[in-house]
Amino acid sequence: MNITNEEIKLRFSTKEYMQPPHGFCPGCGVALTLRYFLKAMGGNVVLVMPPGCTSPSVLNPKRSLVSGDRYIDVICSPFGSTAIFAGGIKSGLVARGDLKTQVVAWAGDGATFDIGLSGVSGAAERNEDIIYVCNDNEAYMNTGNQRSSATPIGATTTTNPPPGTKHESKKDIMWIMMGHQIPYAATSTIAYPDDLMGKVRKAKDIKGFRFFHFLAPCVPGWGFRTEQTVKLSRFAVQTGLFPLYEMENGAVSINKKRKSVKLEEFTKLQRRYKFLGKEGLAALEGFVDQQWNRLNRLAGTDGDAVSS
Amino acid sequence: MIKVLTGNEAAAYGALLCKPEVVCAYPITPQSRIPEQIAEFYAQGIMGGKFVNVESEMAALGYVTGAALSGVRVFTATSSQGLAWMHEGLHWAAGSRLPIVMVNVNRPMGAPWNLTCDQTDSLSQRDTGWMQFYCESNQEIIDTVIQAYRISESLCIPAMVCMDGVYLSYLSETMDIPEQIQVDEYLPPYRPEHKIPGGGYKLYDKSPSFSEPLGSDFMRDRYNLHELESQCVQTAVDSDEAFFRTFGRRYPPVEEYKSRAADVVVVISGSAAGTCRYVVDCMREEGYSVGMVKIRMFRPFPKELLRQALAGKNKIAVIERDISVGQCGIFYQEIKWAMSGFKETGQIYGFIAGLGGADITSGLIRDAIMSTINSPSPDRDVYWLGLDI
Amino acid sequence: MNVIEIVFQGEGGHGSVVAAKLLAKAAAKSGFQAQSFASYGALRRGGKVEGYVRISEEKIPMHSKIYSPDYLVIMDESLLESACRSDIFKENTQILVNGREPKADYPELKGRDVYAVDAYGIAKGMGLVIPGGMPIINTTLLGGLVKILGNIKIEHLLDVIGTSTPKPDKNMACAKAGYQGTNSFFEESSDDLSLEDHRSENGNGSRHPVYQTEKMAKCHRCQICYIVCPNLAITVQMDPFGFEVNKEICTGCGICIEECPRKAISWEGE
Repeated sequence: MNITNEEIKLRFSTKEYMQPPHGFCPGCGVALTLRYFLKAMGGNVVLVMPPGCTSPSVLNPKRSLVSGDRYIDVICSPFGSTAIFAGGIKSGLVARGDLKTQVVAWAGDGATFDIGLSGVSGAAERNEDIIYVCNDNEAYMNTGNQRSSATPIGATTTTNPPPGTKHESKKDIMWIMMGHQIPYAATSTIAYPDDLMGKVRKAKDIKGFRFFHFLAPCVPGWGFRTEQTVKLSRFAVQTGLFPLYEMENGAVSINKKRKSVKLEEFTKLQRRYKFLGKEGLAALEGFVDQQWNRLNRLAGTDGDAVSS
Repeated sequence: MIKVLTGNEAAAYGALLCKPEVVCAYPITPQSRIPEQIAEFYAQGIMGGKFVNVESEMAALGYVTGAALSGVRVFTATSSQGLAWMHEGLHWAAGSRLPIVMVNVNRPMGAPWNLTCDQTDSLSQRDTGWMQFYCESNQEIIDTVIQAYRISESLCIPAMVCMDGVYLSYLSETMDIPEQIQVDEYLPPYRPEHKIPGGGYKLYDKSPSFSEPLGSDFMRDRYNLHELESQCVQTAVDSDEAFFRTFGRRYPPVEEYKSRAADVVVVISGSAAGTCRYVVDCMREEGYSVGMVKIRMFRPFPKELLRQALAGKNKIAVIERDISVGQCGIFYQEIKWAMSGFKETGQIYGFIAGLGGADITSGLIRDAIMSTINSPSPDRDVYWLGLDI
Repeated sequence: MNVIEIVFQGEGGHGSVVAAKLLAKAAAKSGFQAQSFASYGALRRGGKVEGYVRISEEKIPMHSKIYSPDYLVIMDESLLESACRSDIFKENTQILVNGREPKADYPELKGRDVYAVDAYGIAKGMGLVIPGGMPIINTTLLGGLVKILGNIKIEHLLDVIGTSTPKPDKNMACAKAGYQGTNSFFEESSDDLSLEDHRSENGNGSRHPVYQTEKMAKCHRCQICYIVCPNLAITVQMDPFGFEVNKEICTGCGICIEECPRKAISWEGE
């Protein structure tokens, strides 16, 4: 098969904002998420980050987020204050007459679901003109895999170690955020780069508080082979564990069908589900069903349909 | 312009005159009138910038920290429990070299609950790197807010302006509101070189790249901040001098009130300093050789100025409205440290009074002075005033 | 007071910290006072990690780091060059290297007692490998270190490893093999250990994908390989159209190979 150069249409732009080397683990889901996010967002941003995987990885061994000939500003905030700082930074920029620079809070699940939740809620309630990204690897990964309220039921972490597993279900952070009057909220994950980047491009042009929940598989934390990062992200969607959907001004639409991939296909690939057992699997399936019931009610759809 | 205002209102007028771009405060008794008054200014259209209601004190400080990082003047206010809620952020703001001005209404730290007056709240934060000023009157409050911006912005170190809960926050006094044109002359617009984006996040030559989460050269950074803070007292003195030239009022970091030749000197701070001033006058008329040294600037501690003020005094009675439980009064501890090794130091007595809003009456101050005069030497670190023990 | 100071010098993933803990426990079993702690560089994979151990017959009062150890364990031969600094060596510092044979001249090592053990080979041979990661080399090196130290009993080390590690049997076997297989660094190794590439198949950069000409016929230019690389190691060439892998940046994670819909990419050497 010979394709001439004229016939090649690049599916993805080759403009990048991450300049390797960076410090993310080999195969890291967060690294890919950040790469796609910035490709879609462009370099006219200030990133605000709590303690987590990203800030040490993009600042050591060197600063690796660039836009043209300058570095992209990365502001570190205390753990629970990321959304708060981001709102303040945006207000300050506007007060100085800079209306163009977008402020992005780039936080993990720990900072979003747990310690920073009141800050995220406050910023959403005030409709701060920022983009809040929760990149969710389902535990406090940078500090060695301690559980968060984003850790799924049945998984092990260092603070609910085997033979025990986490007894509590994952919080539905999108549900919480949609309880605020915000213009845009969406989920996505790296296995669907067009979906992720398309949503970011959409959000870029919206004013007000925009929320993203991105699932980012973690190689050492979840315990899988490095080449499977994208595959696990795909399975998470196809098993129904992580639905792809968005909310625009109160209207919810589901972007991808819940294909019938069995949950075990997903869990068997990960060390953290080794102690899932029959009961754990049933609990996880129950969680998925409950989540889809809720989602379908919101979206006005039946079963596993995609919104028209 | 002469007005009769409470301490809270004085603070709000101070903020109004200094034209912050972003104001963010969370209400807490006995401070609530401050954000309420400022909100009214905004609603009436007489205050520019943006006023934001947030979900907690941690958010209030975090929000203005974010705005300060963008390079604009900000203001916030709180009290006791709220100040404690900000504790992490206080360290963060000082470490980030941000010129944030905050008014703190001094109220006791629970448990148990008490919504009145005591200075343990702000004194508990003395290690955070913030400058601290303690005001005696509502006039001093508004004047200190204005001075605080000038001092803070010239060094890029945050400043806390403290007022006693109830005794100043709810008390009305006649005061002179400075004219806007005078304030504009004294306080130039805030136009920092550091700003994001593009200005990079290296604030100053000697500051850290604070976005490096692992603090690559943390100890050197703390050294730099420590050295910078050594300029605070002099900057306060200079700013006070300039304030006097513009407004005709002055507030030295350490004020010597009829203490030059005094045998016994009371060292005191806050609203009770005013009462003490009155007691000193009365007792001097009765023939006692007494005076007062008022500490207005507590952080950084004006050690040299205090030594000058207390040199050669026979007896020093520290009366304070706080306690480091299990230890002694915090002012007492700092004064003992400041005077330690100084050859002309007299005997130092430590009195604790007025906790939980208990009134520091002239009678109580007189009792303290008399017991100081009548005792040969202090036999303990804590003398309790006004408590039946 | 006579305090023996030991440094395990490695990077994230080598197990320097655990090695230090295990050694201290083994020393305690052998009747010594022991202390172990660690020092970290950047808290990311690949960051420098040093494990410290002090052993003495008396109580050990000092709590600062160790700058001039009596025994230096180099967890990976690639660190040998940076570790060979005369300012850190005492007169009698002995060195244990995870490696097979010297590939370069190290003048600072002349006249010193330098030992080597092929910990990667041993660990891989025992099947002691982290899924998605490297062989676990620290217990092998501990076996070798105990041999050199001479004061801690190997049985005590094996006891400690047997009760403190997740795969006790394999770890103990590695420690034993390390104890037996440690020789002078400068001798020809007589062990018949596998000469196979000892690095893990996953994620540590020694294996890289390649676009082989024969397989490129399958490529339909979807660019998925380019977009799924977390390290941006793959770049798109336009004229002529092709992909290039930057081996310096590639960590060998294999996502591109896994995700290529046409299986047009493969591992180097396959």
